[in-house]
Amino acid sequence: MSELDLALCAGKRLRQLINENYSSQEEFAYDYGLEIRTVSRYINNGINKVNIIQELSEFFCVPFTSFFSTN
Amino acid sequence: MKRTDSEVVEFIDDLLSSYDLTPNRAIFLYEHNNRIVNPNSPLIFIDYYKEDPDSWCLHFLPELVSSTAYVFGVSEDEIWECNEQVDVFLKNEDNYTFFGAREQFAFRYLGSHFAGSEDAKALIGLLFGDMSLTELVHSGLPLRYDYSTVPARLYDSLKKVNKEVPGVFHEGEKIVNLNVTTEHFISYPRFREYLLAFLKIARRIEDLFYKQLNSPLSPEEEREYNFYVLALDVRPVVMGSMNATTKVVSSLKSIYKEHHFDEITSYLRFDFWKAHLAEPWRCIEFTEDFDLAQQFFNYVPEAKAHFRNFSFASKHFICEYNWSDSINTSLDGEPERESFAIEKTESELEDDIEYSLRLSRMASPPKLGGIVVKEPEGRVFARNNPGLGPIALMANFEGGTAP
Repeated sequence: MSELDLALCAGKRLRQLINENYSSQEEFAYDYGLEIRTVSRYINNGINKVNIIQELSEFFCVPFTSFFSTN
Repeated sequence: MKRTDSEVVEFIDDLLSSYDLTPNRAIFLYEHNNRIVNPNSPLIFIDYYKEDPDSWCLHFLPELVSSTAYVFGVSEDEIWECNEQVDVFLKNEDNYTFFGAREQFAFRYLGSHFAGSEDAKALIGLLFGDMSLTELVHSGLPLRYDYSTVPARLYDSLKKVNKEVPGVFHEGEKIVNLNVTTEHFISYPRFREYLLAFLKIARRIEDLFYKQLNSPLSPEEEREYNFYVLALDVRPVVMGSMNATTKVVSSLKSIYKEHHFDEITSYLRFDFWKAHLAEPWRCIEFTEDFDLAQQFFNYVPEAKAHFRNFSFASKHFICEYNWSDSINTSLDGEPERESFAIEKTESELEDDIEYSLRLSRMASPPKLGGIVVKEPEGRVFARNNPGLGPIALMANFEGGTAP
């Protein structure tokens, strides 16, 4: 996968994790401490920073590699 | 005994700083409550935010003594005489336990980077606690972790992760400008007393806040309320540049009455963790009572993001760095810094493993057992009604979320 595909894949995984754990993206944004527009950007444009994915994987208690799985 | 003016200024400065107040803020509160005897006082023209007490405190000493006596609810004579018992009295009194406990907490935290007994760590922390970690690594002082292994571990980790995320590792290049940070737990035996004392003050602020919306406070209630909101840096959600003193609340009363919300966090923002570095989650004792921690976050819901950051950093070495080829090829000055977290080993975490796991759980989403923080109704309402003037400020309140 290209870097862009990986970033989009990570954004898709974040959306999935938010849906599993929160009733809305706003609720997640407040709990995690992000601006709502940043959450939207991650989901729609992807996450291209490894350290951000490290922190998200720790927060949701899922493996780091799960952010790059296409399943 | 008659004291010199300089001694009095020094006494006031020490007294106020114990509560994270400055002469500027004490005088500001004094004037804000219309207590200045002379309406033509030159105090009115002071730049309150100019931190240079030495140059002007002496000039305004009578006003400074009056304002300090008012803020603490003691006599002016006690201030003129530099009565040390004033401070001891305040800290030992039930309502002021929080401030004494906070001071000890901050003192302990300074030594947390170092190795050795608790006493040795506290002493080294007092002398060197304000140095950055990078400076400490080169200082030869006894540190808790051996940072010399971190560069090689970073290199190996990036090489491994490169299999999932190509481009993270730069084959044949060097890691340069490496900066490492981390966080530590401390043990604080007075933790429970400290947090309960905070909750007691927070509830008192809440009670007096609601009371003044309907009827005037008594002079002593007014003094007590104003002291607390200044010392804890409590601000109105709709006016983040001011402390929520009685006068400010009075000016916002019509907005408050027009829009009713159930929780105090829709009106006031408790911000003490940012101003005082006495973040309770740094204590191992914080993880031992989930309900108490939950009560704390009911007053400071936005602190969960800071607590989560601490939880992550306590388990990792956070590395910021550049690859050597990025330095060489960057056309516009400094290249963007990379960041990657190296997990601490079990032997590095030592006895902290248990606390670290509990803290991670508390920092996770509520569905996974984490602390519940509810976005204040006022913020939600403001976001959904952007045309409602001052109330709409809640939605975009500066500092409303962590960086």
